[in-house]
Amino acid sequence: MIGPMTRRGVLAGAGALALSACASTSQSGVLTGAYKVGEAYTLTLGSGWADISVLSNQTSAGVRLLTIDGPLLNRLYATQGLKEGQSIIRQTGAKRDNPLPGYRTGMSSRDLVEMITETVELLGYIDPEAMDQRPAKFGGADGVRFEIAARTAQGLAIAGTALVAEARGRAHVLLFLAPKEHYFVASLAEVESIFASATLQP
Amino acid sequence: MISFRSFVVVLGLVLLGSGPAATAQAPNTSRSVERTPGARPTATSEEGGLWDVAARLEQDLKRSGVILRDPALNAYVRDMTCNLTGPHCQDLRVYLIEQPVWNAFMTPNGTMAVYSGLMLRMDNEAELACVVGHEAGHFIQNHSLENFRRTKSTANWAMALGMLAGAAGAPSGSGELISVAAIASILSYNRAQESEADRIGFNKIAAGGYDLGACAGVWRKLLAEFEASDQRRVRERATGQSGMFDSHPGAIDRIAALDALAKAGPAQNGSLNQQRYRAAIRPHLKNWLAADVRRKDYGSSLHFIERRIGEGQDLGTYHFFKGEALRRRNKDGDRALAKAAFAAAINFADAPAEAYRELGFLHLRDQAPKESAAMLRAYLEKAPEAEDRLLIEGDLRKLEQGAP
Repeated sequence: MIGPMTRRGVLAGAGALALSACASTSQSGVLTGAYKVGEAYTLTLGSGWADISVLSNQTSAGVRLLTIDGPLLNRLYATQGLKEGQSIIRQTGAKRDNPLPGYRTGMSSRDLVEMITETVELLGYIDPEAMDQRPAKFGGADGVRFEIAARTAQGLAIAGTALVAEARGRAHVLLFLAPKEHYFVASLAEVESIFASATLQP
Repeated sequence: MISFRSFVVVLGLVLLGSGPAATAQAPNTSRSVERTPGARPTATSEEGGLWDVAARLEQDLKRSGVILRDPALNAYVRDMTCNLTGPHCQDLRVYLIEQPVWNAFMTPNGTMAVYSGLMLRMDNEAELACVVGHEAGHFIQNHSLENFRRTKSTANWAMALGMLAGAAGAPSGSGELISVAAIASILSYNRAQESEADRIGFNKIAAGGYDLGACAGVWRKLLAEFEASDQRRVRERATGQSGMFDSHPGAIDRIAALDALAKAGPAQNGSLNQQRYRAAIRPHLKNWLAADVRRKDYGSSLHFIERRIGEGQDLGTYHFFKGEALRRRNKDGDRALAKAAFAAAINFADAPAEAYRELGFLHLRDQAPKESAAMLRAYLEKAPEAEDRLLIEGDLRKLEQGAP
């Protein structure tokens, strides 16, 4: 898991990635505006986001990790289209005995929700629950939206929200997690705006 | 999910945490001295230093997100522990950790941790008493102090206890082999200590009027479940093929020693207190089983669940989680078996409403839309506040419109 880090460290990491995203990047590495997630879709970011994907040793290739205040305080995962069998979580030796929660073509809504909650658990959160599951659009694609409640091993309450959809044989996931106290609510409007901005590439 | 780390922690800290097994007749080569109930080390003593480190672990545990705080279950385990340990009860603090791990451990200052994964698998109170008695034995005989004097390294202890705190609270998928290995090597008890703790645990349950065969029963179940594991490294531990713990005793030796103690023990028609135990853990059964299935060692989970089904209690719950394990495993033939398990579950009042939903989904996969719709409606009737209600209603609308 990404350990505690300073905002400067986060932004330094983000700077290294500045060229990989389409969003305009300030000298400090902060992203804003249109942000292309691989060839799959585009998001519109408000101000203050940094791409720290390069610092994540938990996620598989093609999963972007964005944050405003550092990953312990808010984190937004954006997959650029999970392929058949691909998981958000990176396969490592220690996990090789265990099948990771991966995408399978034709997953039901329940399966998609289950894939995300299992992912959240593997990211290090305890007893993630999916609440208020409802149909939603990811770009133009039919998808599922739900809220997440979990906690850290240290007992900190975590809140999250996720939007997931299948399109053209791939799973697209937007997953936001933050401490329930202050940080989740503080970023929620921005996250809602980002979710609503998702535009699938033609 | 939990897999290797969890089982290694079990092996390293609880059950296989010693040298080659001693038999019941083996001489006690431990030089440990039973501690006086209520005794506290001075702050400047070496034991005082150990207690200080352990106290910090205890504070971390108390604050952690893994502690099960159910007052009724905590009171039940506390009362059982006190009945078992008598005057030493005042020195012991038992923390229930809600993690799907077959584990328990004792730290130098009387902090005992018992995991929900272990409690889920204990058949009765007598078996839990064996584990608690064994762990209490390590404390009563000052085994950690002996080990400290052997290693002569407070830093090692601090490191090990810190790792232990991490292992206790760590999510099941994030364990690190090297940490567990270090914990096992530093906190493990030697052959004589482990044998002594076994004897103490056995004597405690004998004095408590429990069934004398209960302690060997714990080991038999552990061994059988390791052998049923989907994970090669866990199976290798059951058969003694692992390199990492080669110097540690096998479960078979431990079973033989405990059987010998039971055979030589007092003739008594000991109690199991099975119903009381099952009633105590029943409020947590569904959560614990759900967590157990999520760790994805389906061989292990199914082995345990089938055993419970054979006993004839909580059948709606156990059939449902059998179905869940099969559905998630999804090997050839598992879908039909899962369907049969869910169908069996709904014959019992304790079946989770989700059994109807899963049957609905499986009927749909089997091109049976009418049966699917009936089951999905039944699910919504039984769980009107279900978090996925809107999704299921959407599925029902598609079924009514004849969509696939």
